[in-house]
Amino acid sequence: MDKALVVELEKLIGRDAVVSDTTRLLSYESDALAMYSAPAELVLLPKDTAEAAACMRLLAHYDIPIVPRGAGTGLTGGARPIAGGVVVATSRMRQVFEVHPEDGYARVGAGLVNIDLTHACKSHDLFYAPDPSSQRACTIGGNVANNSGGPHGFKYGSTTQHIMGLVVVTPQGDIIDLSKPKVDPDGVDLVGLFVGSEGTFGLATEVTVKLEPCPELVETLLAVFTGEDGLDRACDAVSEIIAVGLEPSAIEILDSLTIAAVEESSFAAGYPRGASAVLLIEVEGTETEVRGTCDDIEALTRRLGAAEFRRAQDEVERHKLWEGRKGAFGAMGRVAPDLYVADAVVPRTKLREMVRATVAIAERYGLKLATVFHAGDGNLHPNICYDRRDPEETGRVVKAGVEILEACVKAGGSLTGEHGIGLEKLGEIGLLFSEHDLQAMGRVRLAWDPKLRMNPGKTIPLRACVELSDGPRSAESAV
Amino acid sequence: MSKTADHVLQRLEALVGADQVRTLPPWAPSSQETLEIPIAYPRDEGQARELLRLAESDGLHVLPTGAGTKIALEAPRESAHFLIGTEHLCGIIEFEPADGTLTAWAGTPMRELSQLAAEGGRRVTPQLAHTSATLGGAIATAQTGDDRLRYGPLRDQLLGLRALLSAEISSQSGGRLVKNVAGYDLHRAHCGGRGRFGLILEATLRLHPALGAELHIESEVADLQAGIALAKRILASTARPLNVRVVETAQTILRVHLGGREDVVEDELRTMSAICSSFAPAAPLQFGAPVFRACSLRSQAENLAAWSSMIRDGLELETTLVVEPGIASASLIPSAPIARRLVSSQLPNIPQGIDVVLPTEVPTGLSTGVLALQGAVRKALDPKGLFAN
Repeated sequence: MDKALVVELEKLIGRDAVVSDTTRLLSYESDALAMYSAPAELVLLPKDTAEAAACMRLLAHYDIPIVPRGAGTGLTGGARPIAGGVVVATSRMRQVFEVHPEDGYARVGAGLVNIDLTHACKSHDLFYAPDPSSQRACTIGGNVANNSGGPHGFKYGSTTQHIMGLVVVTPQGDIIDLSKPKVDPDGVDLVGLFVGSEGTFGLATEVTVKLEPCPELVETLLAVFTGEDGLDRACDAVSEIIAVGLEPSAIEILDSLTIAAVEESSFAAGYPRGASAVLLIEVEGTETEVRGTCDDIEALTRRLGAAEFRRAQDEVERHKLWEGRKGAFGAMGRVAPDLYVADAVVPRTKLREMVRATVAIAERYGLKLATVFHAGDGNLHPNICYDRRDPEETGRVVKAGVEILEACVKAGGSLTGEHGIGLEKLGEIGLLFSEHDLQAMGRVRLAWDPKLRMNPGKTIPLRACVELSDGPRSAESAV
Repeated sequence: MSKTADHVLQRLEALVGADQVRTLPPWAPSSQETLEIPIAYPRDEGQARELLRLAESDGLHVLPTGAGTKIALEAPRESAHFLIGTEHLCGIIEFEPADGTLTAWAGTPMRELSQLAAEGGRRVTPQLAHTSATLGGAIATAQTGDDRLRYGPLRDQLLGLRALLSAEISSQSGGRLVKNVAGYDLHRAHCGGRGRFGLILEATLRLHPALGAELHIESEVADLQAGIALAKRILASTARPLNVRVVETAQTILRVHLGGREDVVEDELRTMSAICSSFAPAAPLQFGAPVFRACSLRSQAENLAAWSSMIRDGLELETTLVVEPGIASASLIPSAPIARRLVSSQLPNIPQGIDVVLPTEVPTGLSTGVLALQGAVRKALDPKGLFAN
């Protein structure tokens, strides 16, 4: 990196906010997809929009690629560089600028941690609905970039449905202020387009979010399935709950390996160790609504063979049941040192057959599969436990991952429900979209970023343009 | 009809047949009004592509049109040389009730979608007053339905779509799944894009469970502000109505639409009665298309209502004022359709904090940076400049 540029950047945002020493840069060489890594040349930590814009104007002058980054909890390699460039992280932008209880919105810095937003508005009996498993670490800006979901997306939808406005710094360093909360967009829906663009359009520095009123009553349920076909029957129960029109706020499935890992970890939730699958269900609303829906779900799951049905008796038990679910990825560290978290979507009527298909694929490659997923949305997370120090095993993981995605797309599904395409799935995006589709997306990308300096090599392949890409994933490139 | 228009008409007739080109407005076929620009109705996607090829080769601008129920919301027609009607581009492509998704051709009337969904125990939203409105038209005009308070705007229901950007290029984004973040959400631009970014061919909507019970109730209130005050108490309660409206004509009425599990509706009715003892059951009320709709935030509902009331008084037209505090919206519904320009020419200065959604000519106060970016995105979506702006 040009020393003169580093000095200029230090003048703009201070020496402490410019990370250039090799040891500190290591933290930024990958996101939570540790399989792929590449060093950043420099990391910048601007504290606000003005500092970010000043840095990005300078980087534009030097024509340097920029990789936006939140907390680095993403699972597709989207927040790490692929061929040098500068990482601009929002981790110092943790401000809560305003909370408007009557109008149901808040304006916050992009680096605010997801759970801290809900804490900030709790006194107003409001909460922020999207709740990724990483919500204790992931940032609102990162959620915007990936259009993140979470268990309660079943009722409340993904991030895009909760974003009312943004402040975006363009690759040229211009500030686009779209932060005024709007009932409907003025003209082209720039905010709607930006959400889910995975850092390829610009850097979001401020976010105006919609807040939801806290429900009067919340009940958390656990339906336990045992026996060889327990996972099948758990899947059937989910499909049936949706088919009959019951409306819980979250429906999650955890399989036996996940249950065992959770119960042996510090996240132990009291899931029955011998179970082949559990359904973790949450119901919210008025007392009448919650009681009625819970009764209907209990009757339905028992009819479909649930061996046990439990209702959390108090807040402590409720919290514990969810801690187990949210800590499941971490708990899998007990099974193997690394975890490949696949993220595919299938039609909700095909849950049983597609979960079976993923199990069969993992078995064929001799891999250990733990499944925990947002069943209500058809969003599968087949998690392959492996050791990345073993190149041969890593190669099998990559191949199995691709095969799982292909099977899901073939069944009418999608490559990603909440993690994004990033670097990981770039090679498979052609399974979903034609060249024309991708070209249309490419033109929109060029409208935001004419020189393709924002997060190059991610999200969509721009075949007509020069991409700084180390190529889509392959067994050989995984380290 | 000018020579150019005559030429266009002949070219259109040669492409799709004389019987599929009209110069009379479909929304009033028996009227004396003659359109200055013809509408061509392609029978299928192939013909639609041919029409766009014609536009490209002859340097013409086109504008898609649905059933004509929201004519005031279209992009201005003056710059279009011909319209493409989606009447024949209709039918269901995929409907799986248990998946909760419905994919249909853009020209399919919303009425058909609602009926089909209901047969499968599902509900389509938005529920529109004009049930003959097409799926594509509803998306292009980002229609607000009767049930937005409960389910959110149409853009939250739109899971994906496919559009023709030119004769050769069709563009798909999103998909037929309730959750999917692959690729950029270009469908968000088409939603409310007023047909300026392509001809929507097909779209997928998220469906909701059918309501076990529904109930409309109403009560006369002293005036608009008293109605809004009561509406806000309802909105602050635990009830989740489909809508809460204050309707002002000769008298002022507070109307509430409840729906859901039967026991929940009964519960909510008790809550409503505790807030306003004079609520009585009412028949469902259907409103026509607004000539004017303004939005703000909930905290601005009183100002919004007062300002919209002033607009209404200034229009010297017979209109109903409908204020929906829950979605911070006010609409003026005329007793008879009127031209868009009539309203826009009579709008006074817009107070800060209020956004006029319609008509389109009203300046929005966007910054030059935002306008430039919008322009760049518009060019990206309409690379050949075929669609009227």
